[in-house]
Amino acid sequence: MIAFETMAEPENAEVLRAAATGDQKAWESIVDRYANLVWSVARSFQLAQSDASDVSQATWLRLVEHIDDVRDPDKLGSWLATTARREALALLRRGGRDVPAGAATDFVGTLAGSLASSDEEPDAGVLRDERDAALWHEFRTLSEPCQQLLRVLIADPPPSYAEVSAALDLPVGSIGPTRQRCLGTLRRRLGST
Amino acid sequence: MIGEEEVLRALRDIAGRRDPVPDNVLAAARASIAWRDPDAALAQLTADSAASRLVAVRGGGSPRLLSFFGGSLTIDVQATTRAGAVEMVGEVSPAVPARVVLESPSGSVETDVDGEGRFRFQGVVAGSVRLRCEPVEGAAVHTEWVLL
Repeated sequence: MIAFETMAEPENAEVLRAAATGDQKAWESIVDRYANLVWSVARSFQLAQSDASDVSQATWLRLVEHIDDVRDPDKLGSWLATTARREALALLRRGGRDVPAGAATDFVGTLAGSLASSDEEPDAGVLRDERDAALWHEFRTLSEPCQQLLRVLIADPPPSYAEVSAALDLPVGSIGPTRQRCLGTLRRRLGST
Repeated sequence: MIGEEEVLRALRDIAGRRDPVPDNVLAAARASIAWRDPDAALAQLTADSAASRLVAVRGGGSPRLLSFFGGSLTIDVQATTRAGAVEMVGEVSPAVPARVVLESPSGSVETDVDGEGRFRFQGVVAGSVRLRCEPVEGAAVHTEWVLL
């Protein structure tokens, strides 16, 4: 069984120092490591693509702005997750982007849309698409807090509980039990279909 | 019944294929290190009307008031969004001769302040922006990034 705790990144301090001097390669290694986490946090708040893009950009610009004073380099993932959450909440509070009704494509819409069109991948699979569709359908019937927690947990690479805690402002100790409860519900529903 | 880890892996697999980080978002993140500006003092956001309002409409036409302070300069800005474009009217105090640069990943524009320290930018693309104030005499200041 894979533990969903990732190892601390002892090299973060060194990579951050290099990035702080403008080292593009060092910076890109940070982005590549955490871009999916930042994106997943934004999407976990049900932000549309355009808003999630803005939150992601704002989060990365904020890191550049504070790259010299990130206090604990080993908590960089948590710092980014916290920043993405704050930017997402601030944007939601302002009422989201001014887009024509119907133009916004949220996470759900994107997935539902692409799951519905099996033309994209004709052979790979009908079977996989069916399994995905069933799984996704059940996922969508979970409570909002469960969907949000799981959306962050399925970031790639898998986030540490500390990062999930920062992303959702939840006590670290509550994540394991909540995860178990949410996945339990999901598995029961899948098992009964 | 399938296991917890198997469910999570399957969901991660779906998200990876159906909701990956868009290429342009990843490219913007990789390019953002170019916005490092270690030579200018940071003017921090000291007030934001959007943070104190319970419900505000982004792009709804009501102005957002922002104040920044740093490097002995105060920069007050009123940002009004209409149909995705933002008008920014601002004032630098004390009013000293200065150039103001509106910086944004979607393009930068600049202007000079008038005799009373005022400046204006029109047609700003909504998104992350910051201001860089370059007094004719004295050190440059840039504001925190704000998402308009």
